[in-house]
Amino acid sequence: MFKLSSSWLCRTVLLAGVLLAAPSFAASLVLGSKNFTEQRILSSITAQYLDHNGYQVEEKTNLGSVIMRQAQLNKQIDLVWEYTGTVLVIYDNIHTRLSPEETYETVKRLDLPRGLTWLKPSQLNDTYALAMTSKQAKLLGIQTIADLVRHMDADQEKHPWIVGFDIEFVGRSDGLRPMQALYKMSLDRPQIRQMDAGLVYNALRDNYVDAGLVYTTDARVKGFDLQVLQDNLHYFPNYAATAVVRSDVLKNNPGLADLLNNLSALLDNPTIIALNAAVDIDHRSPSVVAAEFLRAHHLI
Amino acid sequence: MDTRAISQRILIGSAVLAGSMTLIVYGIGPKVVSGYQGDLIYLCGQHLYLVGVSMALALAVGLPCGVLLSRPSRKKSAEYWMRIFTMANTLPPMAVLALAMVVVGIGDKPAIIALFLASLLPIVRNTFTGLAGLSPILLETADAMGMDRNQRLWRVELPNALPVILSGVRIALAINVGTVPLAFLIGASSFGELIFPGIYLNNHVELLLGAAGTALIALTLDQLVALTGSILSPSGQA
Repeated sequence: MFKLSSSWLCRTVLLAGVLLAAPSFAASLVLGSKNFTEQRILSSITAQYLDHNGYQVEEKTNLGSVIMRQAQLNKQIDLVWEYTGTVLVIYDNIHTRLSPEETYETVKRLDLPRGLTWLKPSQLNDTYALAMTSKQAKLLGIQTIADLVRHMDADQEKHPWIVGFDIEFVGRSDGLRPMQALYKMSLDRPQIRQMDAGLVYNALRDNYVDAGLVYTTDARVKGFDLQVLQDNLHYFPNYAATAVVRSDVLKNNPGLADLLNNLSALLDNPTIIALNAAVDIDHRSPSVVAAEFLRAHHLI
Repeated sequence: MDTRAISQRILIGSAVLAGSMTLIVYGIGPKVVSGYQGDLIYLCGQHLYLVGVSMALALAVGLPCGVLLSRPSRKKSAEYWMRIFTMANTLPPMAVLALAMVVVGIGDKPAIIALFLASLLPIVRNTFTGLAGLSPILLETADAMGMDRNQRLWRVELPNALPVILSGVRIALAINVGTVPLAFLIGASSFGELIFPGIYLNNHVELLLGAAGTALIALTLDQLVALTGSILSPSGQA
């Protein structure tokens, strides 16, 4: 009800603005983001940048992946930073191995009839990986996930390995079950420990879990001296962060695509790792970190 | 309460439980539920483990504290002491989880600390109130019969305060069981492992199973405590 009345309000104000031939008006946008640090930073960067360029941005933070997607399809959210691999596997149910470019082209093509436009993909590839402490990995000579599975099988009887996961991975269709099937990794129920995504890194560092799921752009991989295990069977697809905007919104806001593509061009893994480090390791606020980033690139 | 009434109560309790379980399983679909069978059994065990350990600790600390505070020599200062327990209870469990995690790491330990603190106050408060509120006539009668302090406590005071004490235990238990799912976030397994991913992945079946599991544990344990009360209590009510 509130939504409806506020949208009417917007229209009335808009109409009034046009009638009075006001020199400028602020288009309002709803920006969605997911429940981990990188998304909070991306959201803040985008909000401040668009705000500076005359848009009114309302941030909806800390959403689950599926919920954010549905909200955008239901037109409750106008714009998000989505990852190509997530949409490919979870929403389009495509499980064949594709190159990063093929992944992007596929999701872009399939989302167009749904009213969503994928802008230019960034070089930021936030894929999943399994990791261990460097010390332990070196000690046991583990470099790939296959090595890990071999060690896990050998130890299954007397010392079953405990593996830490975030909230979503175990239940996702691009998640644990298909990975187990591909790598023939057997895990008993007590060996699977799920927790808040950010805690997996602490759990690894403090040896509470033997191996854990990490995001490759997270600064704590380096900060906590963790070793990312090679995905030797190429299970994980490419997860290129890309601005996805409702096509209607793009049509009504001609300059918006260019602005977002400007941001996209600045994003790659070293950049986002540095930004994540500022928040997760130096404990600074995402909005301050975002503002510094924009100022450094003379965008605000 | 005679044995017939007790067995009747057990019968009705288990019938209601079985009925609600059938309803949930039927509502979600037996096939779907059987897919979660392994999860449900494991998580139920973990949930009960967290509740069991934290409640045992809360009882072990709470009951003696309540008894001590109700002794005549401490009656004046009791309310001040009680404020400490009240304070422990006003800390949101989520904050206690996060703080405990910093000190003892992640997993079951911080969860047990947070649950312990959350369930402590109702136990202490009700033990104290139950004992302090006994009629003076009752106590004088006990003294007149020549009972010493210990005898009076064990034979007169505690049995008569039992209904109030047990209702505190039941409140603590309900809070405890309902707080356990939060411990998911710091790596302690419980039905929260169905609830949180259920929310984030918009999987209503998982969400419902986790919530229903938690509710069933709460109901079952509550009935068990009530039953223990009716067996122990002289007046047959709890």
